[in-house]
Amino acid sequence: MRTDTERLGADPHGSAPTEVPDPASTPGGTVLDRLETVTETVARFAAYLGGVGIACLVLATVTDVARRAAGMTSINGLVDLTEVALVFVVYFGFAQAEVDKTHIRTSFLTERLPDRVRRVVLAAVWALAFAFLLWAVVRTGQSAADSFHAGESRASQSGVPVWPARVMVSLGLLGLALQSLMNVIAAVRGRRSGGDR
Amino acid sequence: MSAGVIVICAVAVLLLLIVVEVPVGLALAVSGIFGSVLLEGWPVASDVLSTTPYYASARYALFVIPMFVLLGALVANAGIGAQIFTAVNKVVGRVPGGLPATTVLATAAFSGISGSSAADVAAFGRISVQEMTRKGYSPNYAAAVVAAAGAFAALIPPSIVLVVFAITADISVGSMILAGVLPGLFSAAVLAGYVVARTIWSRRGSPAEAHDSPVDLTRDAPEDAEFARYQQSRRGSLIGALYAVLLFAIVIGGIQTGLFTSTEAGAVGAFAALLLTLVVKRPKHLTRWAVVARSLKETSSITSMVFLLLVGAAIFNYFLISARVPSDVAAWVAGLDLPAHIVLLLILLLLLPLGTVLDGLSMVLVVTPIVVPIVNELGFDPIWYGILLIKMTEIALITPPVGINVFVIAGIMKATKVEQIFRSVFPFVLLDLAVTAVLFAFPSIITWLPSIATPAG
Repeated sequence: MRTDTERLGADPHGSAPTEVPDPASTPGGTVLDRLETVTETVARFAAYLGGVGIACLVLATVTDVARRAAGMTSINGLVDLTEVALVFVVYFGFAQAEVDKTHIRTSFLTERLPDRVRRVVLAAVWALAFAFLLWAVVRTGQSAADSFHAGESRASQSGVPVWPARVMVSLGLLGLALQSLMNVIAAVRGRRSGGDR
Repeated sequence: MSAGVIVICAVAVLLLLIVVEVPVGLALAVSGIFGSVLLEGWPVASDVLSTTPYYASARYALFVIPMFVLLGALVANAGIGAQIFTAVNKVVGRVPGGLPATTVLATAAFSGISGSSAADVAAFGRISVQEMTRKGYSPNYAAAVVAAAGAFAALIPPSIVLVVFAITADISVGSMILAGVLPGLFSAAVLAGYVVARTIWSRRGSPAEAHDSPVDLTRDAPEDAEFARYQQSRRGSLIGALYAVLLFAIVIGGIQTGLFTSTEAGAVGAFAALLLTLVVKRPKHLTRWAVVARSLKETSSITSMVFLLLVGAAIFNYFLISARVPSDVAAWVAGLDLPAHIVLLLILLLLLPLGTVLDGLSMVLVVTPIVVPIVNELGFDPIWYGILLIKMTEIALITPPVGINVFVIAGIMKATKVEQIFRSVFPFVLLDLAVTAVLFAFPSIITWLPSIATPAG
């Protein structure tokens, strides 16, 4: 069983995280190692962008509360903007959550399987997950395209456009699909991807 | 194929995917789409897949989740957990069973700001177990206390599970958060009383070891002994305690007085935590920027984890509703010739086996849409029943095979075996069931605080 908590405040002293050597920088580094490094770097960068988005939403909401407390009017369209921005924040972190193995899962059965069987099972289920996520990427992408062509926006005076958020949904799912593919490769190669490496 | 058979097939696929290590959120989505394909065909299932990921995420009420996660991440990364621990230890550390009681009460205090039960376990696991083991407690018992304390504290706001239940059940998030306060504190007090009583009982006749001495953090952090000394100093402890009280007061006080909504309370709490992180003393190797950057990245990642569950559950629940499962189950239950209280009690007990394969959050997401219509049909308060339901998910946090808290503490303490901790945690499961029975019998413990709150304008 792996959860978010190995990373969320696992050490009350706030000690430094253990550095994992970059496989691509070692003499035995392969194209697949480099691919893994690239996808993880992109996922980490996207997660940081999501974090910055969260910080911006915090500041905007606090500003709005302060304005109201001071007897001024609320920021126009903030709720609509927050809803759309929330989608960005969520999907920016999708791939990194898989790299970190933050997505909740249970390994009580698979860790009891013989190594060879376990690898076959993991490769098969992650291949299925990859196929499913690709389907989701295509369908949400089509939905984003429809939204763009129709000029979809929030049904309020703010008129905040919705299509960028729909594009973000598709991109976030694509990031998770790529991490699923990396999990297939890792299982075939007999190693764990991401945080478990 | 009849709808009943399709539902059974979809649930079987869900369980199969979960046990082969597919993330629960993804397993819910795949099995929900699988069921929809069988029930309504490819075009409908494909439409569900194209629209649900957006609509399940673009909701203002859900904005409170990253806020609470950020608040907890900032506090954890700034090393405030140890300061809270030593502050509580200075108060209760010298009574018999003072160390386990410190663990319970510090976890309760920290859970008031962290929003995640597993995060509480992670934050206090190392200190608590090491110190308790040093003072002669068995490592398995020490680990069990930490895991149970995390589970007991799950109700103390701001809890992510409370927020998710409120949103899924379509009830006020603010009321649900307030409803968790007294049951959470009551649970923590009962657990603290139990560990003290257990220590007095087990140590009777041996006065030399009847007291726990104060903790010493410097032994566990030789590379930054100066910061560890500060954390356990009177000043450091006081600041840690004030930090916890201030953030809890902002979040709960803001909602209770109607100064702001629960969503705004999360944002204001996170902003206050950010400001405090910038001014409090921190570990030597971490710059302020590093604390903030690490917290933001963790928040992004954990928020995505919660939302994958939400999206997956939305797809799966769409399938269940299409198959008329909630309405059929509600009608069937209403037709039973049993007293309403017995029906609700049976539903709660049915949650126990479910907790052996699903974690707390997933359970809430899957069960709420089915259970809440029944509660409404029988004329009970969904807030009251929601707290009881979450109490059962707490028990799931410490029962095998998916007791997340036990796995977290076992992961931190490499020397202890998961199976042995599960054995040691069993008395706490019984205690948690007893607490749930009291809350079932006395609903006002849950409903009083929300009933006197001023709604935000």
